Amino acid sequence: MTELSHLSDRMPAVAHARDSWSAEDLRHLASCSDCRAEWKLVLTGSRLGGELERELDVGAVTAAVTTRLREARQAPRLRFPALRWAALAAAAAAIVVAVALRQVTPGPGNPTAVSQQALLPELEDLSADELETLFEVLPAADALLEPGIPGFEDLTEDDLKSVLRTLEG
Amino acid sequence: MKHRTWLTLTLSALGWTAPVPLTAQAPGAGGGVRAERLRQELEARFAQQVKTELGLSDEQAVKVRDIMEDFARRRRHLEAEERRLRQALHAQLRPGIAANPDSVSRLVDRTTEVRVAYVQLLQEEMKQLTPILTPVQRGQLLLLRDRILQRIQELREQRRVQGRGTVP
Repeated sequence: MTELSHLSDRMPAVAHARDSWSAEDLRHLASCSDCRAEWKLVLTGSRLGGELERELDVGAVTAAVTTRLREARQAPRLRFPALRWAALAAAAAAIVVAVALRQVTPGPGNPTAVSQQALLPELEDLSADELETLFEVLPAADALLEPGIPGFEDLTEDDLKSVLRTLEG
Repeated sequence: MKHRTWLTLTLSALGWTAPVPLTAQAPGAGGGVRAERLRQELEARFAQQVKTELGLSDEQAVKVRDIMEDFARRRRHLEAEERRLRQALHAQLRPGIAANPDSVSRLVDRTTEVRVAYVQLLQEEMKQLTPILTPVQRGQLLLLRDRILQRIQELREQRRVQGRGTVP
């Protein structure tokens, strides 16, 4: 596989944050205007409709398209084959946009959207069971200072001296 | 090239190109809602511990977080690349199949480069934190993160030993 096709194949995944560029990839993109242009196109394409997603009711669109198709079947056929194809293409495009928008919407179903801001990318290849065990090294903040166990600020001067003596043996 | 571009562009816009779940990043890797929730909880705890253990002021916390996020993004790229390299190396070194010496050599060289780059990132991050944190705070941060990274390394090693995945 050539460098060009290798990068091209991965562009959609990177654009959707399912993959990322390596340092080598970035170097190549910086030096190859063709690939850079292609990447720019892919990135732009992946963001198309991003502004619409909040306003688009996928369910309503799907219902409307289905209804329209049903009506079209019952109505007399269009005279011109080209118009029939255009109507079909428009319906298909509407469904495709709805499906695509569902797939790129960030949220619980798209974990990488959150991980972009993470401080520990090393967690990404761990399974849920493995992640569970990490709570041992990252206890909750309130567990760090258990209630009932006084901190040093609660001790008197004599208590502190006593603690020091204990520590010093 | 042009056909490829348009095909890729179209498929990309539709989000229809071979959907790669998070689990595909590495066998045994944690996709799924539960794993993502745990990841978010761990991230939140880590951020909280950095703030409390280091005793950061609000102003320090914001600056430190900005720097750490930037470096985390860069480490993320390296982590992803190393996963790919490990997968490729494992594919080359499958028992009973002759490995391509040139490919293996390239994979090994690149893997070591990536690991060096990873350590350099940690070093560079600490340098950028120097004007913001005291030496003691930097030490605390180093130990806190070491504790987590060491545990993650142990988990990966366990996975490798148990042979749960092809990628340790």
